[in-house]
Amino acid sequence: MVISQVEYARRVQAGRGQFYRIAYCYVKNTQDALDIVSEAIYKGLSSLHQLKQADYFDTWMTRIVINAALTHLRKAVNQPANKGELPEDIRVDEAALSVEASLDLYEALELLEPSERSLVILHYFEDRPFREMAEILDLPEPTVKSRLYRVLKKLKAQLSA
Amino acid sequence: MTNIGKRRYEEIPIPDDLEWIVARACRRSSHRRIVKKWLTGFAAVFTLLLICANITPLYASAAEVPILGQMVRVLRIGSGGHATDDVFVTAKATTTGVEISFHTKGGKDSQVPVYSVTRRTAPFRMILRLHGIESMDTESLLTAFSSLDAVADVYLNAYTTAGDQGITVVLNRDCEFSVEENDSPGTLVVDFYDGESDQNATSYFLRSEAMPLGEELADLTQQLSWEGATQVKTAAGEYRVVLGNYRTEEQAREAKAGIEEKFGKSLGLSVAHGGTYEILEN
Repeated sequence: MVISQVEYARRVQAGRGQFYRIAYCYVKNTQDALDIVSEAIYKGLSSLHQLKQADYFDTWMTRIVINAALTHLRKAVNQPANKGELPEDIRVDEAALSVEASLDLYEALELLEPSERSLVILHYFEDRPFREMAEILDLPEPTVKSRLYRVLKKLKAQLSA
Repeated sequence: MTNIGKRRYEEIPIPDDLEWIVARACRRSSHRRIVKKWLTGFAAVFTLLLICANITPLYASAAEVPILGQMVRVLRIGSGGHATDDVFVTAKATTTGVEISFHTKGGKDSQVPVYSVTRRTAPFRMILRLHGIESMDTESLLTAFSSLDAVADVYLNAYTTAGDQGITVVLNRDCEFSVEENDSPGTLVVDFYDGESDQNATSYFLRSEAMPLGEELADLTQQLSWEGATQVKTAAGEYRVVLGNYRTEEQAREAKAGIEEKFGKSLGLSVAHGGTYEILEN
């Protein structure tokens, strides 16, 4: 184990606000968010042996929280895990991913599928670099950008309608 | 880059409960462990819990709780639950506590009915009160609690309100309790764990005359419910309505005067005192 249980406890306490906010974005209510965080911490503790390096803790734990949120939502709505084939990546210029300051993406989360929300939260709310997002979501970097671009297009289309 | 969405995200309020919930989640493990309260060998675990807890040493415990369904809240004092009708109550002991389940008449799982948890000393006890109960398997409930090391005594309370049920659980020294409410299925899990022993401080209270468990006890409790009345069973086996606890005799006397002004002297309340864990003889 690269970090002890004691160290794990210390780190999750230190990061609890951030984990809570991420969870909250998926469910937009306190009790569900607390449930998700609680579940995620338990899962992290159970799979602590899978953490390869102490430096990876943040991305590793963030992934666990996101997955806990997605699982929570799947249970609630009875959705199947896989939604079928996704379109191919397109090359995206990062400039194409900028948004106007007035576009309320927090509100717009409601319009998105849970997995799409992950992209918005990590990029626009937490300012994570694409490399980190790729780690957290277990996707290649180009795929992250491509999907983010599609999400943004979808939102802009829906919000201007 | 900043935008409205990001600001709103950063402004998501963090509930006070979060620290406690995180500490508790750190305590869960995939295996249930039976930990007797006099075994203190797991030093690493205790260190973890003390650091995790970061709140109060009272939560430093290695008791493992089988957590079912989705945890809604955990409390040591307070209330929760949903408005339900015609709920049936059963209970069974777990390794460290009691799991209370709720069913509808048809036998399906029910949500947790409205409940309240109160704590008092002299003797140190938990009072659990449930509302909207059609029928309760009292035997399974009392048996489950009695089987635990942490429990010194457990008995039914008497209420006038139809559908109200409640029990008083008297705890032994060095024991603490928490109540966890779960949804889907609705359960209340009362968990007992090692706690720091209070210095056995003396506290004061008002108590009624002794009487059997029954209508008179229920009526008096109802009459004094706004004053925070609870029911205590004496060693002799009778019941008294108790108000308090008060820190000093003077506070108790003042409270008594206030109540007699409201209700008259016929209530027959007297000032008494006891140690934190003391069960009075009669």
